[in-house]
Amino acid sequence: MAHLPDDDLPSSFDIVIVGTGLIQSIVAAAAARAGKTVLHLDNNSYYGGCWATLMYNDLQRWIEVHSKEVTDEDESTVVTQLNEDEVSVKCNLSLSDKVTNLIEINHSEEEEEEDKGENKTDEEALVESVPINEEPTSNDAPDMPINNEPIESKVKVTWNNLGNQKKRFNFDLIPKLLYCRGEMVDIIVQSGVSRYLEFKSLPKLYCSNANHEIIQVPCSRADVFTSSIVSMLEKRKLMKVLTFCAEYEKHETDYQEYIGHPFTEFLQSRDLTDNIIQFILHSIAMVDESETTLNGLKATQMFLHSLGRFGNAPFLYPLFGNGELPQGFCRLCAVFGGVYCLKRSIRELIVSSDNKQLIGVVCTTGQRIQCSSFVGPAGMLSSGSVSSQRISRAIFITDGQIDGMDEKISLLTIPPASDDSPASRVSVLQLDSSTLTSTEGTNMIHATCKSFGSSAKEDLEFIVQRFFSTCTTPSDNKPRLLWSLYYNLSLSSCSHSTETDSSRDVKSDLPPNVLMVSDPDDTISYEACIHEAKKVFECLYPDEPFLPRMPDSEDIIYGEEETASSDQLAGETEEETSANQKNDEEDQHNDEKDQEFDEKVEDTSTKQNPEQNDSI
Amino acid sequence: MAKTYDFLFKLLLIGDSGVGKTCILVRFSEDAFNSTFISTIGIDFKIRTVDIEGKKIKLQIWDTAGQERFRTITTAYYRGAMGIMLVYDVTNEKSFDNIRNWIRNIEENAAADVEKMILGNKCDLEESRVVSRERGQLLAEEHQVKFMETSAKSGQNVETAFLNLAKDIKNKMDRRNPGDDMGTSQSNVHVTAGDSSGSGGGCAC
Repeated sequence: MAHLPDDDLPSSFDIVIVGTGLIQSIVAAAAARAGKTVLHLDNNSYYGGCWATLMYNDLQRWIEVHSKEVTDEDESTVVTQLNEDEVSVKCNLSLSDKVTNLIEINHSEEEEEEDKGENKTDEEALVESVPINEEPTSNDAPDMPINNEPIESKVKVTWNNLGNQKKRFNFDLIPKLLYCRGEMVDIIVQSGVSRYLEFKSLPKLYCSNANHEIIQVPCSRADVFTSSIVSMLEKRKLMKVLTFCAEYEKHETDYQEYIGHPFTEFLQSRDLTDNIIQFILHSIAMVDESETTLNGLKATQMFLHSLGRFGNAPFLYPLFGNGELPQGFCRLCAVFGGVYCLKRSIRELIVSSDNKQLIGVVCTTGQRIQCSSFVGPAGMLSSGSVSSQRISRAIFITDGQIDGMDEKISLLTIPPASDDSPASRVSVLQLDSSTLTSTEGTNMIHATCKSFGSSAKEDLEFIVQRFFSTCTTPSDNKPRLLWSLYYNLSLSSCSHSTETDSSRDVKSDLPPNVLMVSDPDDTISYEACIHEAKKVFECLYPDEPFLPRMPDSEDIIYGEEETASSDQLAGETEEETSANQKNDEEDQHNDEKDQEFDEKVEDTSTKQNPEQNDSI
Repeated sequence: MAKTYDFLFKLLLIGDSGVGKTCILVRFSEDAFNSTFISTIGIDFKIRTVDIEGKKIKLQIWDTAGQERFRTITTAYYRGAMGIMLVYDVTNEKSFDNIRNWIRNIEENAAADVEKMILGNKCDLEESRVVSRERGQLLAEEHQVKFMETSAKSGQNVETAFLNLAKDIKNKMDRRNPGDDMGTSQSNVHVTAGDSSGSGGGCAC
């Protein structure tokens, strides 16, 4: 759909970044913010790569693309003209082996089959004759017949009769949550990306016990004492260990000897019952059994500190899905001059044969672009140190909440079972229509775990039997399953090291100004991703601040917002105005931001970042 | 802290690069014009509070940040938009043709009931005009939206256009919930709130 007479990109940039995954997007924003010229490309037609949230139509396309047999793409025979002192490094463009075992199931077809095959009950007959939703028909579903008669709650929602409303679903490829006091929240506030986002908090977390019962995770002191899942004696011990974890740094001697050992060993040393250990490990710290004590303590502390910042919830979920985050950073990059182009990637790197430095790239269109740094996704180049991990994913759409998960937006962790499914911890994220990822009356339920079986369906199908009502296993108190999707994702991660020596050792085959970044990890949070983005930025621009705060409120003359009105500025000459334009703009933002930030956040927050308090 | 406005409307500017979106924005928010102003660096959105039927309405107007250039506007740009100005350049046929594509883009990504208006900008450049007023008018009628020709340079119709769009949004809102103060997003968390709605107290407590 090229609409410009000239579809060529500018021919020189400080940095070219390929892939609009979150890590690349943060690096792009930080680079643009530091005054670098940025070209940001993505081979897909949507933003976010593996981090994307897809609308239904895009998801269908995604399914189609990844269901195809991986065929060896005919090697491009195009030859790029190189100078004598240049070498070209080919890039791997086909990343289609990342997604495997894709299965999409429309359960309304099964139901219809069932209805036709057997004698219908009166109820079902009624349903069939009135194929509309429970909801009043809105503009979004103009194709549907409007029926004014009240049809009680007998009308069954099915995937088929959702019709046009399907386009309002937003599917996270990899669901994640933000710790309320995690670095992601700090970075989006500091950088101003939070202006583009809104969130829902997750006030309740659940876990499942050995009997498959769903239990609310006690998060706060009050929760612990009212909780029925722990005995009186356990309560005291649990409180004690949580209090310890909340400020573990102060008691170094108490955990020192466990530093290199698994977190479980440390917990066992605290005289806790298995019940409590499982519960801290899987539902609070959300780490694996093998995780080190230090990381376990950190994770527990992050969880506990996150409580109380935005109400009594440790996590936030972005409205419209996680794909809003990379897009937010991309916009910030664009606001600071970054150039964006989708459906375009690069096919070659051009490296100087003298000093092995990258000097440019060649786009998939054949255009040559000069640049002094390059950042791309792991796996794009056949070199570099990359490890890969497989996760299993399931997305379910149901007509109601999971029985026992009363809170509309909530997280359930299912610990690994030794004798039963699952063999690794499963996170189940339940979202309702208020997150704007599903439609009124339906829930979107995401399940994620490290793969243990041969396919995602094998790993996660137990959830269907346990929590949903289907044709084969109907149940009155379980929500009906309307649609499901299973897939495995193979996620690459690369190790970064800021010590120049060791990083050169690790990827001696890459030019020093070429950096690779990881795919999302298998955790529920963004902490590792922020960490990596910072490291990459540090490698690229060691002397530049990372996403510094937007110009400070000290620079603002109070009441600046008023000067935006035309009559007051009209007196200024044009030149003055244009020179001041940018500053005024930023001042306005900050003025606004600070005032409203104070209003909205401070009252629930006890600890503020010092810079934010300065503005008062 | 007392609110300094009754309503907050999020408006977007959309159209090909070079049609003058940023100039329109700067003209409306600061009553200024600079023809050498080339790209959209550093402009995220601008604010101007206007008075409509006795209500103070804060207009938060977002610019594309240059992401329209290779047709790569983020879907996130459209979130929560209540009004959209579709801008073309009367001296550039292509930008006029592309209005249809932009409308399709809006239909895919914005709320179904978003108010739209088409603006034919640079109407001061009469000698190089290639799109007649009538054609603009016809296109707008076809899509059942309002139409105006503007000049960010002279300021012609810029103010009127925004006030009209704001008025239409307000009327629609009044029809929907009479006497109600923006029934949206009561329980959403803003970790900072440059984009907060007028509903206030958006914090999840």
